[in-house]
Amino acid sequence: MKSKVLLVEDSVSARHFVKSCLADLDLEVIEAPDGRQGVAMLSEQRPDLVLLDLTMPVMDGFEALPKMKQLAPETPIVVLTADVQQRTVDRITELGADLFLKKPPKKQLLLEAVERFLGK
Amino acid sequence: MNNTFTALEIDTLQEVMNMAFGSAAADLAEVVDVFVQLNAPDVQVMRLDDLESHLVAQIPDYERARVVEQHFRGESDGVALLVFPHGAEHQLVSLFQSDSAEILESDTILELEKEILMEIGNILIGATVGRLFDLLNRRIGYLPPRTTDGYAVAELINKGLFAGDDYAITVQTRFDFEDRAVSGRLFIINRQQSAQQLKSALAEFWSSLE
Repeated sequence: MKSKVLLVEDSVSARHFVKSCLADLDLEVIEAPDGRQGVAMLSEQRPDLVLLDLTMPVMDGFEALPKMKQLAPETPIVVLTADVQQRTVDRITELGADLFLKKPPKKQLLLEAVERFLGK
Repeated sequence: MNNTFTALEIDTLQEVMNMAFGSAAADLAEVVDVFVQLNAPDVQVMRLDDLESHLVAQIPDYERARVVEQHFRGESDGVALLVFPHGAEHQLVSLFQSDSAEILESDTILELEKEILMEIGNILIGATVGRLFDLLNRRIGYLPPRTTDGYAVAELINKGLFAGDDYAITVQTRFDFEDRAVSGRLFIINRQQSAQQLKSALAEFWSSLE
């Protein structure tokens, strides 16, 4: 059975980039354009990994992250963000993020992170 | 020449601006003890005739707003405007002062406020615009920044930076200095003649990361 990755990102072009990076891996990628839909999809579809943007409309990553961790504490969450202030990194770590990747992520770094959490 | 931006190009520009401003905020946080709350940037392409009314609608108390203005030239031409509401400069001074700082004369405070606006402008505009065009692999240079008021922005628009029936590409990001009750907006306005360069850069952006 294919591993399932939930990609929560408001930018269509960024989602397209991440999906193209992951295309060589045998994965199913499901997408949500904001944190609220991301939380709902996590609850309904139980992915194996979440890739979560921080700056989003409707519900941002700061709000979605603890909700996701409460719903599925075992599901690893990799935060992708352009906000590299130390306080942001500290805050998302406290909220339960398993890894933080600076945007724009290099393809190789992204693949390594996904493979690490999915045990591929 | 097609200078209309597609939805995907605007989406990419928003994402690149988000990356650039995030990097600039981290630079500012290294200089002063402040946390910058970021918001999703807004990109719009509009007729020059509509630009002033757009800025008026976006900036509270527009005419009295404090503005740091810096022009850039090169493979993209335009101007960056860092806009703070009237009175924000008083709070910004506290970013650079310790609690035990001596009480200063009012003339000195005014000069200090101006210098601090310039310093914050230098960091946020320089780092954001620099990172933006660095990510887009385009070279630009800067003219020296200056502080001005909101009413001067209208002069800027009308003094020949743009052609008469031209379009302006505005990239706006609103930010808040947490714990300081100060928020501001950064506008980057590109000359329409730079549009083709910008479109090419946006087309190459994602593939450059692979």
